[in-house]
Amino acid sequence: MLSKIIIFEFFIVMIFLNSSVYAGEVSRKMQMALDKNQMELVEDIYDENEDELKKDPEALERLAISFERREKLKESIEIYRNLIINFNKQNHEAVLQDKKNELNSSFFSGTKLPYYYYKLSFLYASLFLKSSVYTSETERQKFKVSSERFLDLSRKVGVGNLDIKQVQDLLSEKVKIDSDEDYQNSMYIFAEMVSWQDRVYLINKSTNSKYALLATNIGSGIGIGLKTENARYEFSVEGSYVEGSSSISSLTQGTTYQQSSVGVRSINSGLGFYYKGLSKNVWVGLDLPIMYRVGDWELPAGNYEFERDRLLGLGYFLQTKFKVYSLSIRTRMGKIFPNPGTYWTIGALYEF
Amino acid sequence: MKTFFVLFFLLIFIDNVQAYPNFIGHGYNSCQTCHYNPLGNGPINDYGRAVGATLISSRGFYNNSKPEELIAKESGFFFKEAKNKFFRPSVMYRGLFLKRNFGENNEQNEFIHMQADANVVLKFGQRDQFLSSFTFGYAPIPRAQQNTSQANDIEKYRSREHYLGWKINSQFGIYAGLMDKAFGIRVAEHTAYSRTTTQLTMNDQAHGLLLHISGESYEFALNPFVGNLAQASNLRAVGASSIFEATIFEKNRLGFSLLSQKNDFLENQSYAVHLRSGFGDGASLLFEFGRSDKFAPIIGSKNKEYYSLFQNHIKFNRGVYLINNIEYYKKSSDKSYKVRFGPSLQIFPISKVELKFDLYNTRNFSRTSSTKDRWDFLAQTHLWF
Repeated sequence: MLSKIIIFEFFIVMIFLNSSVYAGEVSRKMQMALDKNQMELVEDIYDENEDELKKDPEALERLAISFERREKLKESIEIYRNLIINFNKQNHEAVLQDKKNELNSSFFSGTKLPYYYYKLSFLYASLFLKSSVYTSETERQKFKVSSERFLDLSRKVGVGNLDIKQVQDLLSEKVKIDSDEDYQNSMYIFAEMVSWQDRVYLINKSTNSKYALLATNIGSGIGIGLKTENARYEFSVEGSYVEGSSSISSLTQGTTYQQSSVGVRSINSGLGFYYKGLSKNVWVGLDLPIMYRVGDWELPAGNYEFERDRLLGLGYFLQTKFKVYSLSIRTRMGKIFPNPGTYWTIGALYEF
Repeated sequence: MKTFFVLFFLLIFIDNVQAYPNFIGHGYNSCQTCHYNPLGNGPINDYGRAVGATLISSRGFYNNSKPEELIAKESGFFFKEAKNKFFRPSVMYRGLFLKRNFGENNEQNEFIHMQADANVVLKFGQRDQFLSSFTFGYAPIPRAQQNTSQANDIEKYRSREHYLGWKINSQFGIYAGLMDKAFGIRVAEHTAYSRTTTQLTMNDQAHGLLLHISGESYEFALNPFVGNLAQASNLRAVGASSIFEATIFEKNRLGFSLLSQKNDFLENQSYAVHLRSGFGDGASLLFEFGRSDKFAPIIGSKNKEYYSLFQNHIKFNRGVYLINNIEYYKKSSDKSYKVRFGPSLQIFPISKVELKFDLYNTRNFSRTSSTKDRWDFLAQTHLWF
């Protein structure tokens, strides 16, 4: 019986050793990929061997470094936090509870906590630094608070002054930017597809009868704008030229006026506003447009004239702008009075 | 690695489901991460439930001190943690308040119970590689068939999905049963032109096989089918469909789809190209352009129909999304076309609850007449437990 148990235990140990050796080899492959600057390969190797490597702190550190170098700071943070919780929980609790007796020299030689604390304070500070444009103030402050928290822990466990100062510099640099609420001016160009409806009246001058017509228009426009913005708000003024095609027909029974593919043109201008605080890269706002529109609808034979074939209209748009680097997709929906129906646009902006 | 990402969202960024294709914005490129059906739709798995509870849904109703881990654990059946590995029951409900033509003389209000389903998933094997999913529930009679003689033949309580699956390895899976056909982006809006044009709406599932292959940066599915066997044989759409999706950058997926099906009344060949792109923290763009060539043999009519879908999904905050929706539809038989433009507000106030408010402005572009816009307002409740 005893021999059976020994054999069984031998197998268990061999399996364990085998898996450890295997994990070690794979972890070294990750290091080689890191050395060759093949960051995505590091993650690929980890993914393929996750079951073994998730128990290997060195492999996890390598994965965290690869994320950091790829600017995936949040993922890197998660791994360091995982390393603390899963591999250094007891020591971490000792640090949190400020158990000075336990924080002796052997503590520092037996744990990588100082390194993890420093990396976390640095990564959170980097997140704070890199998120000035798209991230809400509340969220950014959380990065800052987290960075400061890990900086405190770093001090407690004796992280070097130079390293501490590096993180402090990052945070103070940001504070300097934060306190600067100055607006910056820039220019943008855009192209968009637009659609709207016009109410045009046909008047029989002989009988003084007035017939309501409805024109449905679709076209495209190009424009240019100037904007001024800070981290929270953006204000803009812009102008555009729109050329489109119109289908028009009568709404009133008894008249059969109808035309299609008629040219319509408009010059538009608008004052816009966006609030940036709601989302990282999507801004929501209002626009107050003014439009001067001309339509080439033809008068029927007889003594007729149009009313509102040339129109100056004012209105409002609700708008969203989805920004990725210098390019944005903008959608707007609203009304230009006195027209019926909505005016909507979808377009792309390039910001200089 | 996926474990890390979930934990990352669960544990670190407390500030901030149902699984939809828009969630590529959260880094979920593939539907199979959260769904039992590898192409999405139907019940969500344990991982998907946890993601829904801790990443998608607001935590506004929870005490600030409640850890995300606990919220994730409570994402099982009726907020309970699963007690075993193989049995996963769920129930789901979708109700819709629809205001059609609002602001007009012919304004209509209607409340529709769109779906009330009970589902059981059984899964076995070390990797959960053997799977069965059976869904049974209420399915309303489609509007076009209400008050017709056909309505009497339609079962209001029936299964819209049931299948057996075998994930042979991490890359290859075979599924057999009644499923949605593999084609295009599975947006939830069954009235989207991308779904009505291709005839892939809420009652267009078919019995068939689904062969699914997935690699790190691609997915492919082939779906031969024999129609819905619960239907009369002359109505069953028999054919095959296929979809291929490839990751072209980290959070961007480009896809192509083909569909060929016919019954005694209609032959339909559809083709589509689509792009799903994720941006930043939870924002996404969906784009699909497609064409359906239809032939009605009885009347000898041929038609080509074109559609496009553009959807911009924007995360305002955890649990709150804005959707910009623009759709286009055109038939070759006339020169007119339609554009539907509308914003939606999607709110996940708590785990397992979705509220959605859609405003649709449909505009007809016709050569023969100009018509007033049509406005529809939809308020939807979606519950899954």
